[in-house]
Amino acid sequence: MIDLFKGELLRFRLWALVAAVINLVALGFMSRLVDLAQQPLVVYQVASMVYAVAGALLGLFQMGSYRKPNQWLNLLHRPLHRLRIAGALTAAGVVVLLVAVALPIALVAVYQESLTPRVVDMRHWLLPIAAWLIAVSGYLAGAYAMVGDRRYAFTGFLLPNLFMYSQASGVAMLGVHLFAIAFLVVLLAIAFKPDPAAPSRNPLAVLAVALPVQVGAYFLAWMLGYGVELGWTVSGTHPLGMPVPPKGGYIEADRAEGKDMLLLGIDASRSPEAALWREQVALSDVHTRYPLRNLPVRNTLTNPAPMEFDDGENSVRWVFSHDRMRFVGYGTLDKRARGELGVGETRAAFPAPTLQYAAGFLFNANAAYQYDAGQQRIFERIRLPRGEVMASPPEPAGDNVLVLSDRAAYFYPGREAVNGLDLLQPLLRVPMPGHVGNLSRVDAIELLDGYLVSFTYTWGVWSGELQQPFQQLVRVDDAGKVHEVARRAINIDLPSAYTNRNTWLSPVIRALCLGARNLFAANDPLKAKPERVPPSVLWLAAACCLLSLLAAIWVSGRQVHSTRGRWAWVVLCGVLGLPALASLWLLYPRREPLPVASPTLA
Amino acid sequence: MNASNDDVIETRALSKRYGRKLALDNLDLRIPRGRVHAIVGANGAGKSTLFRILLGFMPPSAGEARILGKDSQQLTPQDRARIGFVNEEHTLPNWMRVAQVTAMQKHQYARWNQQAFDGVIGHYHVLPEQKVGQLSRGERAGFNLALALAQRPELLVLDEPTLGLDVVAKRAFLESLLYSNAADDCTVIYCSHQMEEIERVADNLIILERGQLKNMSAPEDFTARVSHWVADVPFKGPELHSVPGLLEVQRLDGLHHYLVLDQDAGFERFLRASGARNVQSMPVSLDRAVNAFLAKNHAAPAAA
Repeated sequence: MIDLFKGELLRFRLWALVAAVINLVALGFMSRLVDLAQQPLVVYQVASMVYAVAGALLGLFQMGSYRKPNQWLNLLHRPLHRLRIAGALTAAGVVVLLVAVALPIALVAVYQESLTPRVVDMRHWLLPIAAWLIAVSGYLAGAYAMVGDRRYAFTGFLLPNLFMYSQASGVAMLGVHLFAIAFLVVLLAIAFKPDPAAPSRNPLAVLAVALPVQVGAYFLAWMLGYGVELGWTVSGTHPLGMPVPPKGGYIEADRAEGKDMLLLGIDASRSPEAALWREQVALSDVHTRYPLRNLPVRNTLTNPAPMEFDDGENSVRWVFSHDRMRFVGYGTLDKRARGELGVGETRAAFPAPTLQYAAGFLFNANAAYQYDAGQQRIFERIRLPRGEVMASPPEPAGDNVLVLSDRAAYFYPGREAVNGLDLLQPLLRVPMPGHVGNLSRVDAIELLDGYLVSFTYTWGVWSGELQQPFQQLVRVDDAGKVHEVARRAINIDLPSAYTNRNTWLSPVIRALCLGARNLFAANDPLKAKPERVPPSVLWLAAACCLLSLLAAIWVSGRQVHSTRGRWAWVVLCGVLGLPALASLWLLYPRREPLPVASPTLA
Repeated sequence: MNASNDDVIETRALSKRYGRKLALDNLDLRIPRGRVHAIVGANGAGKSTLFRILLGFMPPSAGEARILGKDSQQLTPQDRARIGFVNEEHTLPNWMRVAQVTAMQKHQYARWNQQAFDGVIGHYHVLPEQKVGQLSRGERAGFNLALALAQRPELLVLDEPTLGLDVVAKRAFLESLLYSNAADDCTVIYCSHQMEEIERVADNLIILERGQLKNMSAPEDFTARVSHWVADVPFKGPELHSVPGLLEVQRLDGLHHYLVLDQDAGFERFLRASGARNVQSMPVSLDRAVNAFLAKNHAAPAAA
């Protein structure tokens, strides 16, 4: 095994070195221009994709060079167990990626740490490992695609895609990487045999191979749904393509200006003050807020946005360090260290990673702060009640400042916010009528004696996660008392069978996908759990499962199965629905008709 | 199926179907231990399919296949150590040096026979520090053969090993095979289209056609089954469908040349009865006999 490993390393040594140099030069050049540790999420996503694609190309090429019949035979026809051969080849690929991907990133991190005043935290030292694992997962997917049966092995590429949707962060994200790698290793080990197309006899191995195929079929069927939308668009009946969106629907609420949104709410009200509010809406400034979808998490590998702000007055850049939970400064002109910034005079550690936001505020999950350039100090201005997290950092709303937490809207005194640096106390608290994860917008106007606030809940409506979108209008008076003015249901605009196709195609696979998305992830208060789908969708799902079950009886009858295996597949198709039927069709070729004995001349 | 220890290869009703095409058709084949067995057949006769099934790289559609007494679909690494395989591409790692490849094989094969390796590689001007990719096709073939024989296999399968080699390289390959003591210790399956090679090395001739076994005998026995008749027949001669055992017919210089299978003196009587004035019989070479045999059922357009 070690000989094969060494031989394979020898094969790719030059490639690895060239790729490592290119990677190092590219990263080195970029690190001269920007701080690579403080880039927005999209930069890391693009880099990850490049590494995953590079890994996939290596896997495709390496295994592709062995997959021609004679090469495959020559590789596997030797006194070594097939898994030892596979281990030797993949270990070499993994080492090549370590050199080409991880090493240059680690060298750039060393450069930033030792030769620049930039912040390099523990999380940044994990980046080479994360990039390496991503490249390895791409490599294994490529290797499996090449080694496995051409009809379905490409579905291994779905596993690295999990990283795009995963809710895990930091070390937990490395756990997700390792999970995907472990799964791909199992798939490759199953396929790496003299006849890779031969179905495994081990039921667990069959399940492991079938699962990505089923998820792939599920996604493909879901994506085909967009073809329906295309048809609506071509026929001019798609609600998104209409110049005037359907009345009372999601699109109308999504596109409406703040004033219109409030008027839509008032229209549903029977309050005698409705006419007066309409006039006030026409005359007032409407303050619209869109809640955050993510908050920075400590030791996360990436950043939702660069975690730094500039003090132009003193020519200092303050960069948030996850290790110290404080801002670390350096001169923008002389690049020399300028010390640390915590909260207040004591420079206490921040309770959570802190970002700059508009209106001169810094914020984190628990509080909002202001930086005073004269004193070069950060002061806590707003602290949310224990148990609540920030959903929209402070911004002016008329005379006051509006803040959203995951549970309520808060109004803070605007004048005190501008004139002082003390901790502010809320004037008004308006509880939210729904989960912030479904909240798409908040619109508010200032009344003579309070506020008129509209909460619109439509987030997740077209992905089937929100089944009953609505708008709620409340008035909050000067005393802080909240009065419900109106609540109206919002139409979904598209047929329920369309928006909920991710459920009826296979409720079990949808649950599996949601589980994979949340694998190793901490609870995110800004995310709502999917709502239960209507009974009609469940009936449709049941009908599809029944159809799959019946079709599986017919399809499996034309394939080679043991009796037990055949009925296990039939049951599986009944449970998982159409994607399982697709996997049954792809995994097992039709039974070859047996030849009829013919006389020989010999 | 009871495996006989005397058979290195045994198939029973072995069939393999690719869609509508039948590559192996109820093949019953028993190859005894020892000697050199040549397998010949036109392209598509099922030779490669047979080897892939025998080495466990392809499942049969029906029937059974055993190699060295083991079910071909259940071969262990230890079983594979007993079977050498050399294919026509001589697939070796181009990026490695000869010495590195040799060392790797030496580590993997416990019964490595350095003497056999040296004996074969001595026929070629191959240096240990040379990269495999730099070897000529003939040198690659020789190196591959040296590696295969040094593994001390009980069964050595050579699948068209001289394909694409020039005359000199072919001769070197055959000589290194024939003069190697290691080859004497194992059963050799030699698959080739080169009849002069078969004639030189083979003790047993196996002919496959369209996935069926058509002949298994000593090459000279097969040659003896095919006879060449020259007849002076006026006009057209007998209707072809009425010619017994006909493999091939040609009309040259007014004479009819018939190649026929399994015909004795009775064929002369047939020709004379068909109007032949003079009839002559002569032996044929193995090359001509096999080619005529294989060409007999060669596919041709319906109008031809």
